[in-house]
Parts: sequence; C-alpha cells; structure tokens
Amino acid sequence: MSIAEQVEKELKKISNSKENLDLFLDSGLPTKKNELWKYTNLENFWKEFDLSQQKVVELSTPDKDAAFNHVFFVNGSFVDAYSDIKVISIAKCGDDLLSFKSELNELLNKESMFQLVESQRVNQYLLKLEGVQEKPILIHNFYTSEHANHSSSHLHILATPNSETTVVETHICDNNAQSFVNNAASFIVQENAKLSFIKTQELGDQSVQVQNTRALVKRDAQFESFTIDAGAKLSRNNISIRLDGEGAACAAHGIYVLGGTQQSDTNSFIHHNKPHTESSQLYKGIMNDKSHGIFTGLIRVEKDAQLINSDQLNKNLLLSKGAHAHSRPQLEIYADDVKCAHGSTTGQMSDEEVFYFESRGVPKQRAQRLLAQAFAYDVTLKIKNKTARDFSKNVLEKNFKNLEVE
Amino acid sequence: MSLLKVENLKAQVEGNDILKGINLEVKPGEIHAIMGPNGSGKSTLSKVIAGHPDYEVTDGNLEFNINGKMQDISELEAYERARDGIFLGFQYPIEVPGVTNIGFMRESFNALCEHQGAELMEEEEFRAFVKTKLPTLNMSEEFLDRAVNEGFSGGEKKKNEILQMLIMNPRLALLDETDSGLDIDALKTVADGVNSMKSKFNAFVLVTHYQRLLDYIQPDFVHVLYKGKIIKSGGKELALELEKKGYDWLIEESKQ
Repeated sequence: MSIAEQVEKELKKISNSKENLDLFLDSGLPTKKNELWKYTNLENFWKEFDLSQQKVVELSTPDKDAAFNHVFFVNGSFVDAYSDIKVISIAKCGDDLLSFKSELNELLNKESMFQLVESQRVNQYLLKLEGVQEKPILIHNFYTSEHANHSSSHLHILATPNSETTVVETHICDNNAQSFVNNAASFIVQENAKLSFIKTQELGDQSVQVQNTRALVKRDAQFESFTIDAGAKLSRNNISIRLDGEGAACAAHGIYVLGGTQQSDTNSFIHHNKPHTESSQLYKGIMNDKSHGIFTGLIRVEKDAQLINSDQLNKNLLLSKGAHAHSRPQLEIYADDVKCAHGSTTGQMSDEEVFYFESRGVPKQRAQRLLAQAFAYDVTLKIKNKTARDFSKNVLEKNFKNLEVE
Repeated sequence: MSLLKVENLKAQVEGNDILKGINLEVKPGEIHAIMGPNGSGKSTLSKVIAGHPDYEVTDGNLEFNINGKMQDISELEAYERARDGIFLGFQYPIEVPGVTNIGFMRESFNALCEHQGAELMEEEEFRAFVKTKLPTLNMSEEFLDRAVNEGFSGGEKKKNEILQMLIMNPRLALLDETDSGLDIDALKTVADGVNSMKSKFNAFVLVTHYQRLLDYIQPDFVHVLYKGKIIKSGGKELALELEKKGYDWLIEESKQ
C-alpha cells in the first residue's frame, strides 16, 4: 500500500467530515509537486506519526503570571479548571459565526493541511473578545504525546466591534515529546476592532507543527499577527488575511531562529479586497548549521481596491555555510492606483559590526549573538503591548542562549 | 616606563605590505599625533595596535604595558586588548541597527568590569553614570536610546566615539581621524572630551590629516608616516611646518 493509501485509510477511520476529508484527499498529500509546498516535503512525516488524536490528559496546576489572563489547552482540548477566560465549543456557539462562514471558507481553501484540520472536526472552539482589554490573554497549548500522536484543533477568535485585545499563544511540548501538531486559527476582526495575535512556538526538535491562520478584517479594523518560531524540526505557517472593509489594516510579521537541520516554511497571502486598506509584513530568519528558512508571500490587490498601501520585506541572516534561505515575494495587482513595495535580502553577519564590538572588549561569539538578537528584536519591537513584547523577547532569548555561531 | 612599544613593526592586509617597519614608543601622559598623506598607513597602524583581524603582523614587536610589565600583545584578540586598556576611536563609526547606544556602552563597560573582577553595573546606575559625561560633549540623553550611530550625523558619530572613550576610560586611546568631517564647534567639543580625560596615567595617539585638531589638543610628539614608515618625528612645531609647506619637502628629504 502506498503512503497516500495508508493515510487515506487511517484518516477515514477518524474523520468526522467526509466533505472536508474529500477536499484534503483531492488536493493530495502535500508534496513538492504542489507549488505551495515546493520546499517542504511532508511525505516522510506520515510514516513517523500516528494520525489518531492525542488523548486528553489531566493538567497539573500550572504557574500563572498575573500579567496575563490565561487559557489552557492540553493536546488541543480546552482545560476549563485553570482558565481565566472561557472558550465555547463551536457546536454551542449559536449564530455568532454564521454570517462569516462563507467568506471565511474562501480563505485557505486550497491548503490541504487546513482541509485536514477541518476533516477532523475535533477541538473546535470560539473565543469572543469584547471591550478594551488592558491585560493580554495568554493561551497555553501543551502537548504530551507519548507515541508520536497527532493533535488537531481549530480556535475561532471573534473580535467584536470596537474591542481591543492582545492575544499571545504558546506551543510547548512535554519532555521533548514527539508531536505532530496541525492547528487552525480563524479570526474575524469586526468594525473598528483591534486585535494583535502573537504565536510563539517552542516545540522540541522531534516535533512538527503546521499552523493555519486565516483572518477577515472588516472596516477600520486592525489585525496584527506575529509568528515566533523557536522550535520544532519542521514548522509550516500558512497565513491568509483578507482586508475586507475600507480602512482595514493588517500586519503579518514573523521571526524564525533555526539551527541543526530545522526547517521553517512560511506561506503568506494578503488579500486587499477593498480600497484604502493597508498591509505590512516583515519576516526575518536567522539560520545556523544546516537549517533552512523559506518565505513565500503573495499580495493580491483586487481591481476595485484602489489607493491601498502594502509593503513586504523578508530578511535572512545566514550564520553558517550549510544554512540556506529561500525567499519568494509575489505580487498580483489588478488595481491601477496603489502603493506596493516588496523586498528580500539574504546575507551574513557584517565583520565590521562584529569588530566594533570586539574593539569595545566584547568577545567575538558574544558579539555575534548580540547582533543576531538585534536582528530578531526588530520584529518583536513591533509588538505594542509591553507584557506581550517582553514575553516574546524572552522566548527568543532562551533560544539565543543555544546559538553558537560558526 | 613605556605604555606602548612598537619596534620594526611590519603588517599586511590581503597580502599587501602596508606597514614596513614602524618604531614608536608612547609613555603615560603623552599625546602623539600621527600625520601623513593619504595611503601612508596611518589608519592601518591604529587598527594593527587595536587588533583588527584583517591585518597580519609579519615582523617586529608590539608590546603593551599590562600590570606594570611590557607584554607582547600581537597574538591577543581585539577584545582582550580592549579589556587591557586599548581603545580605538573609529574613522567611520559603525551603525548597528537594533542595538541601543546605551545597551552597547553598557555591554562594553561590563566587559571591562568582568575582566577586572568588579561587579557588573545595572541599567539604571549605568544610565546615571553615562549622563554625567553628556554635558562635556554637548549630547542630549536622547542619543542613548537610539540605535548605535543609526541616523547620526557625521559629527554626532564622532562625538559618540568620544563618549564611549570617556565611559571606557582606556589607558591608551587611538583616535583614527576623529577630526575629519567635523565643523569647528564639533571639533572643539571632541577636543574638550579628550582634554577632560587626559591624565598622567593615560596616553593618546591621534591619527589626523590636519593641523587643525592640534590647535585644541596639544601634542607632545608629531610623527610623519609615509609609505609605511615614520620618516620624521618632532614636536608640535612640526605640525605647523607641515601645514605651511605640505609633505613634499619631507618626502624629498627622506629619499636622500
């Protein structure tokens, strides 16, 4: 039996939505033949991982930093007992999402891994945000997988009109367990709402994560997404944002710090569907050893979406000869009065900058680490909420401690 | 007792011989000016003393007084030389986006503290310390929180080098064309910085093109470098003579 047939058989046993499973199977397993998966081959991972869902386990009393409101998930499943804020199961959420459903479904509809999440129909929740929240929300995702299990979940976040919230999400693996995490997050940012979402990922180097993020941004609303990848042997971030009302703005920023044979692959799609919309992207990669960073970013501007402003920049810092970066900025512009800028750079650390530090008494290795950090903090500095910004910086700092430059 | 002793020093970069036998002795309390036409090796000399990795010493001795003893420093890394009290003021100060000026200076200062076994300085205490040095250089506190040299004007960059020098308080300061590109006010400010640090325990080597700087900083010795060798040494009157007559007469003299 081929891998595809095995996967199909296994998935049929656990799938709750035949329709979505068919969509997934139609698009096939992501392989290099699929343009969007050109650099990341998932084929081998189907052999390694068990597609049955990770079991719900008890969570021991967690530490809670008082600067946040906390929400806990274990293996994709909500833990009510310790959570300060409640999420509701999609099955019980009533009409909240109904009017957005068809629009949302146009996003990531070609992405097979997203269809895979949808075919599972497990761990589907809604988090509804209201009012102006000073305290950021911290969503903890723990994975305890004992035998290379699969974890799938889909969190919908509805930012109601005029609300303002910062949400930080962490993904951490218990004892460096081997996990295959395939998540989805769907955002609806309603009129005049502001939502900042920061995902940090610190899974162990045995794990694979695919994160599927979609967002609908309505009139005068602002959505920001930050992706901070500091773990996993393979991480793939699919992000699809539609600016769907005049005055809507979004930012999609990311930083990936990779070593060993780690790989991080970002595939972003920003859709300017209405005039007077703005988008900004800054993705930065730091690659050491034999790691590989990939960025593909498509900006589409519809015919009627005049007077939009869009910029995209991907910058890569290679710290060793064996590391490499791929960068594919793409534009599809159908309107004629727009401002779009995109760029990409890949380079090594400047010897002159390193010597400047050395001439001030700082050893070479420390200078290189400080410069790599500075390169990365450019992204975290864009996080407006201080608590969330410090948290993200901390995640990176832990990671930089292990960064040995050649 | 010497602070720095350079004997028959030869150095090359990418296989090209730049320094072809330099002799120079610097004692504590002295100010030396190194002058000479473009391409004579002035900047190279300061970089070789500071330990720039692109320059290779091929012959001669390079000794520095460490703990009261003259020691060979030619094999020491640049950061070790800095920790032992050698400071290089850059001709073209480097921009370091993403690192704040005060963060950079605290990193340097604490590197020295660590070397001397002293306690590291916390952020607030360090800021208060740096603020005491700002008025001498006519700098506002705002410069501390900007990225190192990023968006600084030419004059601001040079003042920032002098600020770093005052913070690190080296025993030997090598200032590589710190005066180039400065207007007269900035030049005076830079000179004020140098003069405020000058003591009988430290020394300066000023690499300069123009006599102008020496109106504000009185050198004890002036050396003329040409094609990798010092062809003339003298007192500060030599600088005045050079200003009037240029270098040609000296070059002719040295050929004879």
